[in-house]
Amino acid sequence: MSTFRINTLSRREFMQESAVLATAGIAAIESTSASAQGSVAPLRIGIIGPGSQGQNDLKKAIKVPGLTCIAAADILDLNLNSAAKIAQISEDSLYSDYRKILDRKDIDAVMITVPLPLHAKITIDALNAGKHVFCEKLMAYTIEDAKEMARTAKRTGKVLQIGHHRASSIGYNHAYELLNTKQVCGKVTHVRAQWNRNGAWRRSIPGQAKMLAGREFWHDMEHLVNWRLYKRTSHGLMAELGSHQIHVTNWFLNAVPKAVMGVAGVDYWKDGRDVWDNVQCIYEYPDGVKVTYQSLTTNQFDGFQEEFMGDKGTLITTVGDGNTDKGLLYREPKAETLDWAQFTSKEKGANGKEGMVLNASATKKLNTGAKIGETTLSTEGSGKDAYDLEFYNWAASIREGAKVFCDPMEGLRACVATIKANEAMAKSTRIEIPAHLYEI
Amino acid sequence: MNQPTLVRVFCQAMGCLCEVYLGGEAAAELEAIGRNALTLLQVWESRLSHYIADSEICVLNREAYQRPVPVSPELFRLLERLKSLTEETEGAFDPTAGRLVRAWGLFRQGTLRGERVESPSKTEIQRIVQEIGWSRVELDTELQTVSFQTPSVELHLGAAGKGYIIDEVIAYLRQQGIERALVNAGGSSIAAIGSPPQSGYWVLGIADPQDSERTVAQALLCDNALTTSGSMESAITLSGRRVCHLFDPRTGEPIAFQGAVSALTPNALEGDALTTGFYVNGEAWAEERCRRHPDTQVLWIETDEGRRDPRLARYCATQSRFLL
Repeated sequence: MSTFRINTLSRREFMQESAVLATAGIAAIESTSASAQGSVAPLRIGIIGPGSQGQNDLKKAIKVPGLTCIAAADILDLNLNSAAKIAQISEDSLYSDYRKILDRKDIDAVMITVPLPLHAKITIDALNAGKHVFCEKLMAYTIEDAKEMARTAKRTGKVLQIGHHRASSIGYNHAYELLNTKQVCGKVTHVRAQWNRNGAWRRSIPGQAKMLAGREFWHDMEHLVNWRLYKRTSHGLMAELGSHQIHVTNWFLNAVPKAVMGVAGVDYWKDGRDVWDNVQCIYEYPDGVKVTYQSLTTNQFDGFQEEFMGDKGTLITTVGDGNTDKGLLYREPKAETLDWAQFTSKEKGANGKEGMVLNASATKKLNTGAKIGETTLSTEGSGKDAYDLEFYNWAASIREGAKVFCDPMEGLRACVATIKANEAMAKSTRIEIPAHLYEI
Repeated sequence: MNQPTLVRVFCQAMGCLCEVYLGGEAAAELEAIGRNALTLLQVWESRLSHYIADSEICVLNREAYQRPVPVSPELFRLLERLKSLTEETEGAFDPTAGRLVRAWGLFRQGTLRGERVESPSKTEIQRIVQEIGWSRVELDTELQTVSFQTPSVELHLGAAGKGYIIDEVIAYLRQQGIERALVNAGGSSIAAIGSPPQSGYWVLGIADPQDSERTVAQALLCDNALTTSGSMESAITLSGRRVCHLFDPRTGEPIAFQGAVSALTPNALEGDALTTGFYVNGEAWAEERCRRHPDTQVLWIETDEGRRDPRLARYCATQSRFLL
């Protein structure tokens, strides 16, 4: 069971809050994983598209007790080799055509970690082939595709989990409780989120790689390896980075944006890409809540984090080193209840006189915007990060019908918000997001 | 027998920490009243601050030499009170002397501890001194307008703005039925309503001007104000010597006295103006004033860099509410 280490002030208060957590979302992740019992049904999966993210996911997934990956499909030979090495997949189960995996009756589920434009087709094919699916985010390249994925999951009754892995994070679930149950920030009126990095976001072309299929779609190795940099295959920073944070925002606010405006551009990395390297947008949520979002590729100040700002405080959530979840709580100036005695004592002699000293020099250093109280929430002890728990949850959903932490509707909501932000930024204007887009 | 609850709310305003302590029954209700009090305080700051470009004071300073500027009834009344306080202090407290503060390079935000300052030229100072003062300010009671007769007049409420705002907050709290409260702006201006339960007074420590961690005396407050002038916190270095940030508006020169003056007065505006006047006019003048005004008490604190303990003197017509 996970525990929380609470630093600095309000320790007692936060210990109580972590106790609340124990009965909330996280307990559910662990209990549905059934990992402790040892008596788990075997779960055989295949992976489709084990590129860099797919390989990370695969390493995590095979840690789930009873889960084995017995097949892989990819159009790059070196990805297949890597997957085979990670999961000890036999050579005759490595394919260049994903349908070979879907045809296999001994495979229960597939992980789909291909580039964005292929998510929908492969997911729908897999669900129709009777497979449970984990599909990386962003859910789909178009809203209609995402809806069709959700509808297919519903119709087939198969599990479809979307890879917004913060949904499975201990820290983020804790933060959700703090924000919604404990109301530590009071009424949340604003969210500021960003993912700032300093780098080209460009992958080098592997010298030895061989494209086994798909050349008619990808044309060349550059467009396959750097698919994130081209609009035909990518929704850029908003999809690859921003959608994680918009997903968290939707989740934490229990709402979806109803309008968005923004500006963006290819402003620095003029290397042939047509995906923006600088995105700035503002979402309008119900009840007057505004969400500002930015993603930079030229300055990594403050890295990536979400700041939930309410009339009583600010809760900052992020993923720290080694995928440990981190939270910081800054309180707004708050009323305190005090003891009268400090104003009434009259003992002591010269130079040791008592009485409350309301001293100019002692108090003037409080700067505007000062941290009134800072509390760090961090996780320890579980040894499982959000990616681990994401696949524990996926397995539990398949085996026991546990609630999927990032289900298709959650994936759709993040997908709509992402695509609409890009639309607004493409036109440098404000656009409304009709409610029906979030429904299937 | 229930002890009333004591609640503290605070905010950053007027360049310092502002606090409101409220005694009463329900903490939530006290907090709500306290929050309103802080809002009121910030609203007043936005009207009177030098550092907020569209404050009423800044507009006045920009335009009142060109034309009579209509002002709010509150500001007009405040200016009339300030004028009479200048008269009471024989010109030692003079809020029309903002240009003098500017000439000495002290017109900015933040701490000025130990800052090195170039003396302005004697002619420059003399010119300003001749062009300032309430005689150069026209307060038209009929039209409620203000105009300056010289371009050197610049209203600066640094010495008394906090006191006035605190009095406004106190009035608001009384209106809300609060019977025990303390309002503090940065430690230099404090006012009280009533006293803590089972105690005749709020007991406040007075800090050593040279070492804010030490207290040198205590003040007893009940339905009055405690103000202090001359903390060395804002001292500057002039020709190698640390001096206080206060000037004599009649000569334009900094005050040589080192130390602080605290006063207990009926309200904080009067206290702010008087402590400035005491500091500038000197100890004998303060003593004389207290003899003639029983509602005013003074604690004189003279520091000496060579000595650890400051010299303390109390002046009052009745029993002193400063405890040594």
